[in-house]
Amino acid sequence: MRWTHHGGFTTVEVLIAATIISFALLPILLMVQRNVETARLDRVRVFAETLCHNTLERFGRSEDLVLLFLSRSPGRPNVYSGTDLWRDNPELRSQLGIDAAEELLAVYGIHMSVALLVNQQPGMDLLSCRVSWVNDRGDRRRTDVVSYARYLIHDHVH
Amino acid sequence: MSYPTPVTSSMTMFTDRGRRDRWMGVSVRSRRGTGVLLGLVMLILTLLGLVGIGAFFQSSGTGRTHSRVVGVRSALEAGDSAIAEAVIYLRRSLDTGWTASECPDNWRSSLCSVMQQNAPWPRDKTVVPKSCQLLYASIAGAFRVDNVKVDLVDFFNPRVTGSGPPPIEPPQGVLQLSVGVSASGRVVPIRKIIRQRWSFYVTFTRRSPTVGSQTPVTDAAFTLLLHPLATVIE
Repeated sequence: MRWTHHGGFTTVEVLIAATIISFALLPILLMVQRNVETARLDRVRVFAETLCHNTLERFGRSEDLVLLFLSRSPGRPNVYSGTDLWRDNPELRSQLGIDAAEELLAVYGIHMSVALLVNQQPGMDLLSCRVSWVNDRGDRRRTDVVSYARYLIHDHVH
Repeated sequence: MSYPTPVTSSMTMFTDRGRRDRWMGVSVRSRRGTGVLLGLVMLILTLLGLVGIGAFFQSSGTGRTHSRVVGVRSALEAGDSAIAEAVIYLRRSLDTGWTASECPDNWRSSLCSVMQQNAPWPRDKTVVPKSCQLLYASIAGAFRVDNVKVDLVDFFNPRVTGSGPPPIEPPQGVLQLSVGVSASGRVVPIRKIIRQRWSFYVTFTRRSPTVGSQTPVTDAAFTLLLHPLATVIE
C-alpha cells in the first residue's frame, strides 16, 4: 500500500478495500440467513413430527379406541378416517400438543389426517397418521408431508 | 498540599517525536494508528468468518441431529410394528399349526412337543413381517426391516401326578422376538435392534385322562398376551 502525505490510504485504495470486505461478507451473511431460515422451517417440521408421534402414542393400542374419533370412509368399508381430530375433540388439544402451537398451525397451514385400516391382517389394524404443512423457503412454496404408521393388534381370540 | 507531576523521559520522547512527526508530514503516530485500524479490520473479518463457518456447521449439525432423532424414532416404530405382525402370525400358527412363507415353522407342533415330550426349546426361528417391510419401505424411504427372530426363552409346565386333580397353574412360557432395523441411506446410518418378550399360557377345553406324566395337547389353546412384558432397544 502507498502512504499519502497525510499518513492514510488513498481514496481508491479505501474503496477497493471496502469492496473486497463487502464481497467477503456476502457469503457469511448468506450463510447466516440460510441458517436462520433452516431453523425456522426445522421448527415446523419438528412440530409436524411431534404431532404424528403424539397421535400414535395417544391411539397406539387397540384399547385406545381410535374408532370413536374417526368416521367410516365412503366406499371403503374397512377404512375409518378423520382430519384435524383436535377440532371436534377439544380434550385432544393438550394431549396432542396443539395448545402450544396455535400460531404454527395457522401460519404454515398444518393439517393432520388419521386413518385406521381395520383387519389389515386378521387380528391386526393399521393406524397411520399423516401431517402436511406449507414449506415456504425462499420464493418457492411446496407442501411437505410426514407420515408414520403403527400396527395395532387385537386380543388373542381362538 | 499537591506536588507537581514529574515528567518522565519516555513522555518527553513521545511528545518530542509527535511534534517532529507532525512537522515531517508522515507521523509515527499515524502509521501506528493505521496498523491498529488494519488489525481491527482483520479481527472483525476473522470474527465474522468464524460466525459464518459456525453458522454453517450449526445448520449442518442441527440437520444431522434432527435426522438422527427422527430416524431412531422411525426405527423403533418399524421394529414395534414388525414384532406386532410377527405376533399375529405366531398366534395363527399356535392356533391351527398354520405355516406359510411368513411363518415357516409350525409353532403349535413345536410347543406341544416341548410340553409333552420335553423336546428342545425352539430357538432362532424366523418370522417374516412382509407387510411391515413393504410398509416401511414405502413410507420411510431407505428403512430396511429384517426378519423377526423368535426364541422360546422360558417355559413352565406343571407336572401332572397320577390321577390327582389338575394343577392350578396353566403351562406358560415366554417368547422373545427381536428384529433389526437399519437405515443406511440417511445422513447418519442407523441400526437398531428391538427385542420384546411376550408371555403366553396354555388352557385346555377338555382335560382328558393323562397317561403317565404326559400332558394331552390335542385340545390345548395357546394364548399370546396382548402386550409385551418388556421392550429392549440396542
